[in-house]
Amino acid sequence: MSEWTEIVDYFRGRSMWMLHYCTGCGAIELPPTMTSRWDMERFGITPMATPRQADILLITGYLAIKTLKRVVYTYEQMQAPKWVLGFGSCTINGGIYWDSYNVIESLDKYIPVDIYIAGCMPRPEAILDAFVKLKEMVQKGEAKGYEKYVKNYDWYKANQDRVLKRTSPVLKEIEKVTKIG
Amino acid sequence: MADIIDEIKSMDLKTSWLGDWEFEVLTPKDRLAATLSYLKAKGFKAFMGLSCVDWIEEGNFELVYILQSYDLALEAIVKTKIPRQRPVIESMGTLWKLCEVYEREMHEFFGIEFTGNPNLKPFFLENWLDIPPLRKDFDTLAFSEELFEFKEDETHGIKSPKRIE
Repeated sequence: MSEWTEIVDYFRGRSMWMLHYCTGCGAIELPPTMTSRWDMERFGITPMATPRQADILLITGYLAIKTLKRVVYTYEQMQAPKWVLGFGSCTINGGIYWDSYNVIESLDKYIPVDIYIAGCMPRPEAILDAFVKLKEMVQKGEAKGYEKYVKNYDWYKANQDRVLKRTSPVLKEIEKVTKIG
Repeated sequence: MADIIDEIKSMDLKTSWLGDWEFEVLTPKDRLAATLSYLKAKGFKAFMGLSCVDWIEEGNFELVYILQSYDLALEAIVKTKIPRQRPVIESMGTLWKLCEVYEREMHEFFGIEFTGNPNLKPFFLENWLDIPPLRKDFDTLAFSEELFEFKEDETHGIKSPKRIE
């Protein structure tokens, strides 16, 4: 690693703009995190309106198949370097929606996640802890999820297409169902 | 308000109070439209919702129409059963336009066909090819395991490339 990269990584870690994709109930923990009670701007992190200007994508909770598609669009619009935080147990293994027909189980199969925040819900302290940890990782040059996505693009795309572009029924017992007409 | 109950009873429909302010009416499928338009004329003008219960053991879907009357401060719950094997019923869009939206949802989640409803397109689900997911014979756990908890080498029509770390 050259000295120049070290300097760049140092400054990257000190000014991170966050896009929060509020799919689930976890979004309710963000207003106290952003505002004066916990005030995440102390760490140089501030909410950002558009994906193209953001560095962090915070996925707050469960993702349905429909929202997964939008998350992938959003993630691909963001410019590297970019980092993904998976928030709550729903992004880790589906959480309480583990047997749902419409909620994905593990976010890491579809986009690379740098840090998971466990809990249902994680408190604002946990979110800030994750931000500080991410900052350290960025400054050490360890958070390289976006490079992993480029290297394994085919793998991620295959996983995404498997869910989003189904061409045949998932369960094979469809002949049991009576069709009308 | 008790006279409404008596009148419904005189129409040879089963009805009973469920509480102080709500009653249910059980009606056969072919008298549903007549029952609903009668109640609408009697003051139950607000259509609150339509839901469906899957009675898989007796082989029926039960459609539940919920109506309210603001003047009488009463709620009417109209229930009708249709066979599971051939779930077709006429649309109530002519009585309440809003009903068509609920019918679209019931069509998507239970596979019920509403004749006369022009808009039964997919609503919430994306690219759904299996049996309607809220039917009792749909195995949601098996579906979830099959689609989401796959092993990395296992593929379903798509060849999964090797992962580079």
